[in-house]
Amino acid sequence: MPAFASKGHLIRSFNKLGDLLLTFGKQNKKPHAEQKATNDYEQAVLEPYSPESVNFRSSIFYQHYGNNPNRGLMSNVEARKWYLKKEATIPNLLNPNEPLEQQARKAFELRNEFRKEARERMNDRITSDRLTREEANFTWDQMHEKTRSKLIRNGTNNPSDNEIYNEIISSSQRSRTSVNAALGLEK
Amino acid sequence: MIISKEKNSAGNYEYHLVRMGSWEFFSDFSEFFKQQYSAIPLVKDDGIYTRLWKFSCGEEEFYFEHHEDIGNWFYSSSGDGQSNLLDNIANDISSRINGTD
Repeated sequence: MPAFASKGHLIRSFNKLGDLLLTFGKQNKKPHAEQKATNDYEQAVLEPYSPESVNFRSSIFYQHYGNNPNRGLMSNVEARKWYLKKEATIPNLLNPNEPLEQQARKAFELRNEFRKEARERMNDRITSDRLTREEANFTWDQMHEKTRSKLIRNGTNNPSDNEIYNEIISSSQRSRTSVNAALGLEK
Repeated sequence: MIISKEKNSAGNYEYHLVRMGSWEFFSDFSEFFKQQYSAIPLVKDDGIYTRLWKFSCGEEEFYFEHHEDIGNWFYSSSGDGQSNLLDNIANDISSRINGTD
């Protein structure tokens, strides 16, 4: 082919190349395309982007969501806001006449329940799935121990059970305004 | 106490922000790292009640983490978990906040 071929010559060359590729493709079909899958998992491996495979993967994600009719309806930020709103209702859901430990356990259970549901409500299924794996909830004993360590760190020597229960129900924080001023943060 | 320096099970030092463990304080301190130390967030991973951000600061990289039940803490991503930079930042925070409510 000359270094500067005519337009018509180039088009004919490209057409010829296209025909060659088509013939090559027909003669060299991917071997797995002819294999038959015997179940959904095999199908997903053999044809990862077929509708059946995509649906199969989706169904695995949905297994994490349970039967919650509100699943997958919120953005990540909306889910976080929903969680905060529900968390704020916890003090009203506790019975102040019950022993403090019972109230703390109830607060702990409600918080875990709301966290789980917030993840279920996220429509970003990849993040939701990851959070389900990575944001694992503590057991009650772990929570008790973590809160104990937190109180010691905060300056309470040898915290009593009641102090731990109170902290689980509502944690104490410094004033944000004074801290931000001390940090010299620009607004 | 403003910062509690603790060795974790992996042998790395963690700097816990005492009584400044909320989600909002995490945002404030991230801003502090950016404004006062020119730290650049490389990874921002926010969950429902947890956050994990990775910062680059000069030659170093460090993690800043939030868990609603634990609080906020930062730690070095280097192998031995020791960092003069994080010691300096912790001392700076302590001297700035000392005396606030």
